[in-house]
Amino acid sequence: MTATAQPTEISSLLRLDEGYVHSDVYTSPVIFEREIEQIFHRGWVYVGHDSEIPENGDYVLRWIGRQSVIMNRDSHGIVHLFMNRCRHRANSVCQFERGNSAFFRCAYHGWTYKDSGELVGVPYADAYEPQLAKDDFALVPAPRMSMYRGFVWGSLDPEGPSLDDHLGPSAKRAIDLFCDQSPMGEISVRAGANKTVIYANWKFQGGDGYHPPFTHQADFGSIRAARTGRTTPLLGMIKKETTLQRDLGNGHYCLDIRRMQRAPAPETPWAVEYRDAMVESYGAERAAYIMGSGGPHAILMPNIQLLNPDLRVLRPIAADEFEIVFYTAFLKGVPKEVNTARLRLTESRMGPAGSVNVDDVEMFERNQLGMQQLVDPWKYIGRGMSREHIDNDESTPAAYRYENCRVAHYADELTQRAQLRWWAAQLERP
Amino acid sequence: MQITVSSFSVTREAVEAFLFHEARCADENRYDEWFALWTEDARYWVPANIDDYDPDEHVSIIYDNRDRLEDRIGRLKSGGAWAQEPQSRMRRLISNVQIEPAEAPDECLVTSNFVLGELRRGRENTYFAQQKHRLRLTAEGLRMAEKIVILVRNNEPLHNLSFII
Repeated sequence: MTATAQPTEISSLLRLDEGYVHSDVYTSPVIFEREIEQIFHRGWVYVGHDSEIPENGDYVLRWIGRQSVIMNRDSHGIVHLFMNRCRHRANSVCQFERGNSAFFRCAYHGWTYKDSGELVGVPYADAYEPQLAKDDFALVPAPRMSMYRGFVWGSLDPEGPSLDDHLGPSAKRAIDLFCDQSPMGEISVRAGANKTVIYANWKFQGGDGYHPPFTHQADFGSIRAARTGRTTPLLGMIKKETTLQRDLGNGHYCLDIRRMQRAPAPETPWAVEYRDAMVESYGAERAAYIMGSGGPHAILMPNIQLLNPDLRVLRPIAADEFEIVFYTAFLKGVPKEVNTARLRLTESRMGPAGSVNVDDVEMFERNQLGMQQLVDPWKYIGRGMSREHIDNDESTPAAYRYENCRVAHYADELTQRAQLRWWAAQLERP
Repeated sequence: MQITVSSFSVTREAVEAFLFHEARCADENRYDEWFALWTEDARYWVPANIDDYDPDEHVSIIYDNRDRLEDRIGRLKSGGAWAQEPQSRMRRLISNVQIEPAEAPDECLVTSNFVLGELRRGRENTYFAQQKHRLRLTAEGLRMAEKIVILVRNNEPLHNLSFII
């Protein structure tokens, strides 16, 4: 067994009322083990989207913390989440990232399971006296699975707060806004992914409105703006009163850029067709709001981020290593060009060869190096502490309103503090 | 060896010399010289997850036209591209060069393999790949109309590809 941090040690690493956090929170392998136990092997962890497995028999292989899990749709259309482990001698029964199969057959000794989990085949079963009770040897489901708008979460703890409790009302509103960019209110997550590894701590999840003009000085947008003689949008952003940070509760947060006043969409035939479909579905006012919002720009603990056009999924590896997979989320019911434009946006900005994410990765890794300093190990995240206040988001349409949330200036550090308050509560849970 | 490709002839030596020159520009972060090797209708594609598909239906690691390529080079030269400060040190070895005719009479298709060693901040990465060039004979010599890089690990988590792959 690996030693893990004790709850009493956690509180000594945070002085959030003064705006300080100890570097050990991000560098200690002992703390990391506690995170795996308390957050990833106990709480709700996002595993996939049901649009990834549209046909009966479809499956994808995913992770809950360090556990390999199969998310599949059985022959009756029911979605399951199984631990990827044969009940005989514990081989993994599924080897491929995705596929379609009515059965999972363990190649080691041939034990075979239906896509609904039942053990249906045991070679040479006469060796078991009196008879092998096959019902006792079905594939083990993740102790809990729950969905919201096609997003699927699993939890390895049979007890504990429901997914509803974990998300709270505001995170659901963020998911609603992400999906409602489609006139059908549905996304499709089947257009591939950019997979990245970052040699830094998984709690670096962005939501920082202070860094773009500096970290992303070389963003393509800035480069293109300089080339065409326009001012850069990034530098203007932090001055606008219409951009905020919100603590969405339970560690979730967003950079609220929904009222940033974007340039209107081009009047191409496909853009017009998209807008008309949105007006048809939601009415003119709400459609204009959704399309002008740019999506929720929300980060939901512990492992998904809804940042247009991507659904990002995080996997922790070690205190100083994590992975992010950027799935370009397609919108259902829109002209093809809308989704192709989303692909071009993911590629040019995110992923390992884009213009934005690479510099975030670089900053996170420089941060990880800096935090190894033993002299004065405290980080200061006190920006804007005095101007945090409760807000009811009254100017937003009711369907997407974040009620009773703490807000601060876009470039403050409310989001960092909100994440760490939630984090400490998870690690201190008995 | 002389290879006749439709209406124009190109030697294997000339094709390989082009590939080696392109690789050297990339290895040595000579961005302008590398960018000058492209035609106006450039297509630079690094597929993600699988090796071949419709890039309007599935995301890629890189899918650049001339404008996006220009942005890419402009960014690297801007002085603020932190993921290349300090720059990567690189060397790539090119092998298994095969040349075929292309559809256009002034073009040929060149398939080759490469292995790239990239060192940055004490971390060394190795990338194995197949590359497919569609080369066009122009007044300035051979130029890239298309380059496709099929990374062996295009479905694995990748660290920053902030250099020229």
